[in-house]
Amino acid sequence: MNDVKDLLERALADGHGPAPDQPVDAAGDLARGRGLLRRRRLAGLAGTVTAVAVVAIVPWATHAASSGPAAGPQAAPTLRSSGTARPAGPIALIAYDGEQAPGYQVAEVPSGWVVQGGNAYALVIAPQNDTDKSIDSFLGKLVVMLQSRDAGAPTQGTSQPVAGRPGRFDVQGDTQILTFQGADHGWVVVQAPTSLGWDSARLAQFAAGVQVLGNAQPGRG
Amino acid sequence: MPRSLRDEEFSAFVQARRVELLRSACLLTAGDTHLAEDLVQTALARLYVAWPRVRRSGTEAAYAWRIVVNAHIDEIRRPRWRRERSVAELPEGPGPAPPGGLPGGIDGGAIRAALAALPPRMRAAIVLRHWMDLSVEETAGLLNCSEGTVKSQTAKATARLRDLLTATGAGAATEGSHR
Repeated sequence: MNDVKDLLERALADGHGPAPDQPVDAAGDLARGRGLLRRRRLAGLAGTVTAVAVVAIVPWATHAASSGPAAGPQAAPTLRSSGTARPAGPIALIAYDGEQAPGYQVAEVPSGWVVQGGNAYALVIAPQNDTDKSIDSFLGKLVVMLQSRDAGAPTQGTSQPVAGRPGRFDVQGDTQILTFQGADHGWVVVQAPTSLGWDSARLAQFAAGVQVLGNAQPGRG
Repeated sequence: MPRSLRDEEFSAFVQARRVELLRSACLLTAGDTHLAEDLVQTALARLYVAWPRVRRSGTEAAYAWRIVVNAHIDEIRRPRWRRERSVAELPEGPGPAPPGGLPGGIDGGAIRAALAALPPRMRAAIVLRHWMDLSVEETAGLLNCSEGTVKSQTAKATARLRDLLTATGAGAATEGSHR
């Protein structure tokens, strides 16, 4: 059937598709795009505000709890028992349109998180207000890297495909590790803190938006 | 509202590519123009959000296409959609030709019905390869599958389309062009 294109053209006849020369007004698409961008930014801001509020409340509550019965016996036990400033649920993934780092690009980041930096060996994503700005420090951060050239295919953990490609998901202490077959650069490793509240599927969703660029390099060891 | 560089570039892209995107989406949806419009609107809104990154990488059209294709496949998977749209068999015949109907006895409705009878990924493969003239590699990238899968899906889709149209009698007129 070498005339498939003609058949498809016929399928668009009698009002079942626009004419090729139909005029276009981009205003509607522009308005919808602006609206979506505004909502995404508000969602990101809300996440950041929530995180800041929790950080502010926890020390206050801890202080209140240690000040004796007069300091507010109802609030103290609840907040003290939370231990850390973890969110109540998983942190949402939002589209990312900020600066990217060399070596890797991401389509989405956790709400309130930003690309902190990176190089050919790793991409580091962290909360916007993270005081640890070193891109060589991975603690509590979301990190993307190529699998070490000295390591083989992953065998530990459970199967977790990424965009139809094979992957393995494993948890080691407070860190989740998803190792998956990249599109054309071998195995890719995504390391995430459990404090994100993500499951393997959410981590795979993030991983599906990772693009490994040609200048990315695997480490050794 | 003042227009930014993003607005200017995005509007130019929409002006240049929207009709092409919508026509292709209409084929993906087998002639459902309302769903096609929804898919294109969704894709363009998300493209606007990601514009700086996508623009830098020069993959604007591919990005929009990926969203349209994936959103369509997701839509098809919904139970509501399956109930309303899945077509186990084609209608008895191609039906009456519209006024000033198509030459060669092939009715646009019969072709749309045949397209609707294809599984969504198979339909996407044939639209991407034969309508948009994308390479096997580009199609595999958009569909997130191997190049071998693209080849087999396209071949199966073409054969099935031919069989379906032949079964309705509408394909008879195309037999000469297959040889």
